[in-house]
Amino acid sequence: MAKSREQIYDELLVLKSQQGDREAFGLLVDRWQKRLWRYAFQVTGSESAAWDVVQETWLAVVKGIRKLGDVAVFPRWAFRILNNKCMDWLRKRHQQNRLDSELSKRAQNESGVRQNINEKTELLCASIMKLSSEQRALLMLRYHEDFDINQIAEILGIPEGTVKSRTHRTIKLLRQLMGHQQNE
Amino acid sequence: MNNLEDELKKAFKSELGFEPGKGESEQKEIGQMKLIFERFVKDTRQARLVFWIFFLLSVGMMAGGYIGLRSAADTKGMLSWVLFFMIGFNSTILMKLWYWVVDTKLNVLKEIKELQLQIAESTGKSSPAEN
Repeated sequence: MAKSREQIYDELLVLKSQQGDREAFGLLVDRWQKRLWRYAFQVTGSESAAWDVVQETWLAVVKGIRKLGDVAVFPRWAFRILNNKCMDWLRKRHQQNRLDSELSKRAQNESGVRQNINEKTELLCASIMKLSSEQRALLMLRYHEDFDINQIAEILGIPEGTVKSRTHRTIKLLRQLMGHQQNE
Repeated sequence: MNNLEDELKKAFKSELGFEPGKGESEQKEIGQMKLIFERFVKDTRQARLVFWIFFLLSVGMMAGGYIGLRSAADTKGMLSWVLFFMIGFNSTILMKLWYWVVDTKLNVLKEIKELQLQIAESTGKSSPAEN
């Protein structure tokens, strides 16, 4: 598969970081920090928890980056670490329900800030907020980070078939939530 | 891809309005980046320190072996010290070799990536597939 400039640049930064280049590592953190935070926020639903989880992830990345054999797998590897950290956090807290409502609240509060979003997208966003953390994480990886099914399976540590069925179920649920079922 | 999936992509690309907040969150990000960076620097120093400790240990073994060889009285003792010296000597060679292999591999890969990046930038297209 052909690689984009961004991917090549990331790989170059990882290689330089493996050699101990501080500047390259700083750039790598800068490029990935917000992407990782967004995912963590979608899963944990809390801004401060997302920062904590991202920090733990980066510390794990620092520890393991030199042992990373194939630099091309960096995004998958980083997201796998992040996902594990998020799941650990969720398990520790047992407050998914509260967080989901916090996330919905925040989404409602921020809806006025969003620009150039049409009504349909607004409805979709509201429906996404009603999904569980795992379902949101799955959608984030598939439609925001553009990972393939096998890559998502690797990140989440589940079989490819499970990813397919979960995605299918989530989309179906989302359709139901959006009132799309009558069109099918 | 169906309509909903297209919409999903669009919705996620619009970031769903989720950006880290300003103020406290921004401070947290700055503090966090500093911490991560410090850890990276510390880790790099630690890796170098481990290398040098092992290297000096090997050199120490060589020196000890040489001194022992000079002061050994019988053949058996001499052979033991030679063995000790050889272990130290081979360790230094293996360490240098290992460092050279890893460093060369990373340098070659870096050159390839830089070349790919230049091609991608000059053509405005993505790079060719890799095997």
